[in-house]
Amino acid sequence: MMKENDCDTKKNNINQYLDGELDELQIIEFTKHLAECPGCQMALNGFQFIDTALKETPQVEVPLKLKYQVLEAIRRKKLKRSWFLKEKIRVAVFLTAALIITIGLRYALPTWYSSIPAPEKPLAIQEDALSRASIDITPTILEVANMKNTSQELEELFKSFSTVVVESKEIREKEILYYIIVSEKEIDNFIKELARFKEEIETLKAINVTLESGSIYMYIREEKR
Amino acid sequence: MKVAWFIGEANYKFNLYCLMERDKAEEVIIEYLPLIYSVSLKIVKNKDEAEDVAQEACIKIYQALPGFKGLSSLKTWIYRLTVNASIDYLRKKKRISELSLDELEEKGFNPQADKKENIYENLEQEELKERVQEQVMKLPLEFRMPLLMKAVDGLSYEEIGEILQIPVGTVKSRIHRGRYVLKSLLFGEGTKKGG
Repeated sequence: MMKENDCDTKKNNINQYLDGELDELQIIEFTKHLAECPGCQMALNGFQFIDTALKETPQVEVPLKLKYQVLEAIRRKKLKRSWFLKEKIRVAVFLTAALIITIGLRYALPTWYSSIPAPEKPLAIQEDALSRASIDITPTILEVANMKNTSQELEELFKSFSTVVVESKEIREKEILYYIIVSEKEIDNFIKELARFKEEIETLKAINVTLESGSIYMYIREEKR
Repeated sequence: MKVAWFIGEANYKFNLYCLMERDKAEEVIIEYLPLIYSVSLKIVKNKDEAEDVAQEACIKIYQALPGFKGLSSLKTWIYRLTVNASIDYLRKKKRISELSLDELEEKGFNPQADKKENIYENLEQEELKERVQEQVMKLPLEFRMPLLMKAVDGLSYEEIGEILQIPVGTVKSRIHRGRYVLKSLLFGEGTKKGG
C-alpha cells in the first residue's frame, strides 16, 4: 500500500505535470504513479477540467459606447496637447519679437534706457508682429464659416448612401465630429468616396475610419485651422 | 479589425507631426481595447466599473506610449499598465481586501464547505464549465489574476511575473494554490497548500 506522504509528494507534481515542467524520467514516474493512485488521477482530471473550462471562457465584447468614450477622451487630450504646443509657439513668437525689438532699440536709440519715452514706431512694429502671429495660429470667423460649408458637402455625401446613418453631430470651434453607422455592403464604396472627397477638400484635416465585423461604425473628424 | 487612416496636408509641420504620431497611438489603443477591457473586467468584476477603468487605462497608455522603450512586448506593457490602473481603482474604492485569501478565510471563506454534498455532481459538462468560469471570479485577486493570465490569456510565467511585478516562483505558487482553491470550491476537496 502506498504511503500517504508519498502520494502527497506525487500530488505536488500534478501542477508541474500540467504546466509541462517535468522531465522525461519524472513524467514516466508520475504516469506510473497515476495508474496506481485513483486519488491523484481524480485530482489531475479535476485540474485538467478546470484548465479546459477556463480556456473556453467566452471572450468579452467591448461595448460600442466604450469605444466612443475612449476615442473622445483621446481626442480631448490631443486637443489639449495641441493647445499647449500652440501656446508655446505663441510665447516663443512673442519673446523673439520682443527680443528683436529690444536689440533694435538698443542700437537705434542708444539713449532709450536713459529715461527717454518709448517712441511710437517700434511699438507699432511690435503690435504688428503680434497680430501676424495670432493670425497664423488662431482660426478666424471666416474659416469657421468655410468649415460649415465643408460639413454640408460632407453631409450631402452621407445622404447619397442609403444605409448611412448619422448618429450624432457636434460642431465645435475648430472642428466637427460625426458618429456614423454604415452597413457592411456599402462600406468599401463609402471609404472610396470619402477618400475622393478628402482630396477635393483641402481643408479637411483627418478622417479616422474604424471598421469592425458585425457592428460597423465610423468616427470622422473634420478639423479646420 | 481593419483601420484606415486619411491624413491631409498640414499647414504647420509641428501639427502634422502631432497628428500623425498621435493617430498611431490612437490606432494602438483601439487595437488593444478588447484586451484592456477584459483585463479590467477580470480585476474589478463589474461591467460598468470595468468600462471606467478601461477608459482611464487607455488614457494612461495613450500618454505613456511615446515613452515605450520596447524593453518588453507591447502587449505585456499594455497589460501591466491596465493591471496597475485597475488595482489603483480598487485601492481608491477601498476594495483592496480582495487581494488576500487569508483575510477571506478569517472572515469565514471555507472552500471545503461543500465537501459532503457535492452540488456539482449532477451538472452537465457545459454547465460545470460555466460554474468554473463563475467560481474563478470568487478567488482573491492575487490568485485569480495569475490563474486567468495563464489559463485564459496563455501568458508565460515570466510574462505574468513581469506584469504583476512578482518573482516567477511566486507566480507558480499562486497559480498552483489558486487551482487547488478553485477545485475545492467546485468539488469540495481539501485546499492544503501543495496538496
